[in-house]
Amino acid sequence: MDKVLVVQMARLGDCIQTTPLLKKLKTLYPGCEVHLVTDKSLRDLVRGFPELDQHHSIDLQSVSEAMEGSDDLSQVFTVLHDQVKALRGEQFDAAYNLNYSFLSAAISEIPTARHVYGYRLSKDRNHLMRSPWFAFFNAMVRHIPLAPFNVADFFRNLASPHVDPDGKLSYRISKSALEKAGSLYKELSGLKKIVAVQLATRSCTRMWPVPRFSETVFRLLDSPDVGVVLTGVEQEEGLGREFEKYTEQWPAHKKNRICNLIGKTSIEVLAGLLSRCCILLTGDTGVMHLAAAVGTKIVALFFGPAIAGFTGPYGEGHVVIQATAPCSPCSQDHSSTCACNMSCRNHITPQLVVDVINHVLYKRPLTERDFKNVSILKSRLDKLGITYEPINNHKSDTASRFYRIMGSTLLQPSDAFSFEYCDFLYSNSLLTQIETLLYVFRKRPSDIFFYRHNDEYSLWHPWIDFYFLAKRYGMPNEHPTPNEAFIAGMSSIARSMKKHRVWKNTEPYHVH
Amino acid sequence: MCTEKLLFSENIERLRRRDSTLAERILKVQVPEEYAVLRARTGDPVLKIKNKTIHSIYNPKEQAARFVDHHLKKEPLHDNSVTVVGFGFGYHVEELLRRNVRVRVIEPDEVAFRCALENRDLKKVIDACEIRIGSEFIYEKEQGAVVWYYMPEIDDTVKNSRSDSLYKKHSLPSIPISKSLKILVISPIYGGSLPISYYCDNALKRLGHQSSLWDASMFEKPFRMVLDLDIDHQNKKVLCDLFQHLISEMIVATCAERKPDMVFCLAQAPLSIHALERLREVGIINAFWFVEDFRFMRYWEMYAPAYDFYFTIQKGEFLKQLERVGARACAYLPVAADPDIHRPLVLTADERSRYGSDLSFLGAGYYNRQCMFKGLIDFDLKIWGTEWDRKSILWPHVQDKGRRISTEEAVKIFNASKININLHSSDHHDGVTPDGDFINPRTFEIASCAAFQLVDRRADLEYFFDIGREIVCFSSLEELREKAAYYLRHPDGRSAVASAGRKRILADHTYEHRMRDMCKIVLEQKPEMLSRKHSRSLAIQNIDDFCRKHPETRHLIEEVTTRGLCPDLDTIAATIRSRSKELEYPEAIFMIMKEYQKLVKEHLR
Repeated sequence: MDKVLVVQMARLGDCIQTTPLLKKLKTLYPGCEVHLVTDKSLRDLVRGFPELDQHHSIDLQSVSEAMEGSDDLSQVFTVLHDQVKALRGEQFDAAYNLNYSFLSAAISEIPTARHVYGYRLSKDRNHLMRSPWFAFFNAMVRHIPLAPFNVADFFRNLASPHVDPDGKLSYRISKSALEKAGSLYKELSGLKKIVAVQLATRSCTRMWPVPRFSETVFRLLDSPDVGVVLTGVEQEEGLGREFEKYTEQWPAHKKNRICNLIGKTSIEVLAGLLSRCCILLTGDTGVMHLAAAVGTKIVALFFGPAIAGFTGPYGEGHVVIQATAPCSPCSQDHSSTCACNMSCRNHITPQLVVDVINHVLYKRPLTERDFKNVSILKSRLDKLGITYEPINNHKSDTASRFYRIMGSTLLQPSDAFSFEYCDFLYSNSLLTQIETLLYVFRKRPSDIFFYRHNDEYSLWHPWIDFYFLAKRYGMPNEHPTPNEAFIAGMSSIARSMKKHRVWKNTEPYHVH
Repeated sequence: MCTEKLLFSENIERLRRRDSTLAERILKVQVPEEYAVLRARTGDPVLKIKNKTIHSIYNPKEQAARFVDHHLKKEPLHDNSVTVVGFGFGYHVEELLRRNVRVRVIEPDEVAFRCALENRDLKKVIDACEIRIGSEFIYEKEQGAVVWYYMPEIDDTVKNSRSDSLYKKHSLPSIPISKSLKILVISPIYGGSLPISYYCDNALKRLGHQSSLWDASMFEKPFRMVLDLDIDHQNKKVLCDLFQHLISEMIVATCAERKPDMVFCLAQAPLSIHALERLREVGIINAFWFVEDFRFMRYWEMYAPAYDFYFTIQKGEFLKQLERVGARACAYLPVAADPDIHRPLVLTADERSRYGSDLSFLGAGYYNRQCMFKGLIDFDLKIWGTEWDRKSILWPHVQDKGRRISTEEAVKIFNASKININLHSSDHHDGVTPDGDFINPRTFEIASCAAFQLVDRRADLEYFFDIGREIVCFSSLEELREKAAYYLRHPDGRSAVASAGRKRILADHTYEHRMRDMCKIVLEQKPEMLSRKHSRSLAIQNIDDFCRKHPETRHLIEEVTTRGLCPDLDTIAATIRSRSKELEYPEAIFMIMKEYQKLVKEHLR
């Protein structure tokens, strides 16, 4: 392939998480020209994408303004037409549309592309057809706590065949931005360990209270070599002032080691600034991904709707403090208010955060204590990408592991991957369930549907969901077919378990 | 140019003294390209609309004198006064004034009137005449006044009334999108006003409104099942109310989503008073067209006050009674014809023998018809329609055992019969209802087919047709027999009247005319409807211009407009969604716009 297009109309965080895909495309097709379409607001950001050859931006804001300002549709048409006409003339060997939306599906139809991967408008124009891998992605979004793959890996693995990942986002900081960033916090220049703190989040359901942040910083500054910079955009300056109110009474030697840079950085300078910090403490994912992309270690606060396995920072050695509650994660529907008064965010205490940061900074072991309602998860790299594992006494989620294995059959239908996780305690009853499901499926595939209503098989709902999504909305002529994928996923689990001698049955298991 | 400006300012000044609102209105009128002014050989200005000159291009004054002579000969003036419909450049009106006739002028076309003020010195005319500008005044003629029509632009174009393309030429100009309304037409479940709801919907679309039909006739079967249940009358009524309530709720739900500017209901539309109140709460205007005889159907007493607008086919007493029961706004709106449906047809020999006869009647067997038609059985008479008495001597004349006749068949019957009898129904008179005060749809429909009819004399019929030239009336069985015999002997006379009748329908009595008047009346009282921007969607304002700029969109836009829909973003997006092939470039652009608009709306919510 000589020329490929990636359509990513989502926000900053998703855009940065697209970089592993860009990198993979460059690896798969050396010398190929990589184009990216994003919203115009991300123009400055994508300038730092090293694998990007050409950027096309669409200014949706101006379309919105044209709609507001006039009753005449032809004017709006002209505004949009002027923006996309350059893209229209382009010819691509492949287009990768990453957004589950008709908007980006329509955008990906503007240039000529020999193949479209990801999402594509159906022939009847009322559905979005999807690649098998994205049918799996959608099924997993419905069962989000399972989160077998990071979003960046979902994007990355859309391009096949499989290439071993390096587990890194990519972002290139310009020299000038780096220098500018350095000049911003000169007063902290003598300090070895700079910790960046991002107070604000885009969604209020993910906001950790400012008093907790200030208490955390106060305790962090007990170590004499630590300095703190506050990051954020102009609109978040109010939070910075609130934070400063708490610091007013602090002793000067602590107060002097805080530098408030909220609203003082462009996106490029922010990237430079983050790259000079040892750690970013954040609840927000946008800045978090940017920091991960420049190689800064993250200590992330995940609660509310956030799930580490899914949107956790991409890269090795990041730590996520994941609060859990009986009701978590929150539904994605932001209009509903929390019935539990957002109690989950209070499970994360300042002392715990300080301990985790010190663990990352000084390799101090986390003191053994009651991690009630909290998991400390650390990222690591395997052959499929980044995954999160608990470093405290919590056990890894078996179901999530299952789905990592089953999903991987879509990437490489052969038995190429071996999984060390498979020595988890699988019960014979689970194996029997798989066997029954496969038996039913082979006899009368439609009966599988009824198993969804049976609690006993609840663990397998997502895989059945995937099967139906792929069947109904799968792009034609893509491999593996839903049937192949379903059987391959099931049998890979059966094989792994058999290999680990959990399964006592001596009869070999046949799929075909 | 200078004289033109001077003339106009003098004329308008004079007009302002007499009627300042009219003067203000005329000042705002823009003259489109198809209106041109020529010079006659005599040097007098002559108006030309599209390709038709309104006055003689040799000598307009002489022609005006001929016009007046001709009409005076035909119809002498009682009290030396006349109403002239059609003003043009007013030569004929000046001629009448010269002969000391008192003239009342009705000019349906305000653009033509503006042109007249720009090109002729009309100060005398303005001082001497009562002037009404606008098509709505065509019905506002004084009782018993003599009316002359001066509408050469229509007479001249109608050379061959048997041409189907004729109608297209007479289609009213489409209103600009900025003035288009989003209208939901509600049909009844069944009954005579059901087809009228279809005609209204079509007419509104042709006028450029964003009309859609809520067709309640899909519930006819289940509703009849309720009516046919073998249960107590009282219980049946409860069920019928519940049924109507459900349909009402469905309409309200549709309105909640589509947010029309207006809901236009035809007689017997199943909308409850409660539903009307809810529609009003959300700012949707509702109007009702009571296309029935108020003396027979009494439900108006309860429903009329619930509607914002109540349109009737009867004037005088009914309007007073409506006022008494507390109706908000009422107006007279007679029925009409849809010339696309009721049109001249070329029939096969089979059809002619099946549907044709010397005399025919199509309609239900009301008492007065049963009585009167007994006196016609010596003619070759065919009777079509339901509710005829099997024991009557008329029964052998009743076709197909009195089955229901579809609209398509009705058009064939009208076309095939030499004489169509049209007797307005009555339950208690023996024959012609004296002073019957409404005109039934059949009158317009037969005329619109360019078919010949003998209709019983109605109170206001002369305001709609030039009696004797465009339509022929009777007042008694004797007169009916006499005229039937005469016209059977004179086929030329029949066809002259028939084609003049169709011309008149095209000029004045289509549903487009009625819907235009209806909207005008509604907008006059509720001008805020147009300013409520939120209910209207983003639309292409100048289609030609847009298609010229982006030729690749033409195909898509034409698909929308030929279906009579407004090219707004919602409609275009829906059209794109209804197609099924790979997305083309312009379609992608519209889809992006629509999807982004949705996202923004969701975000705001």
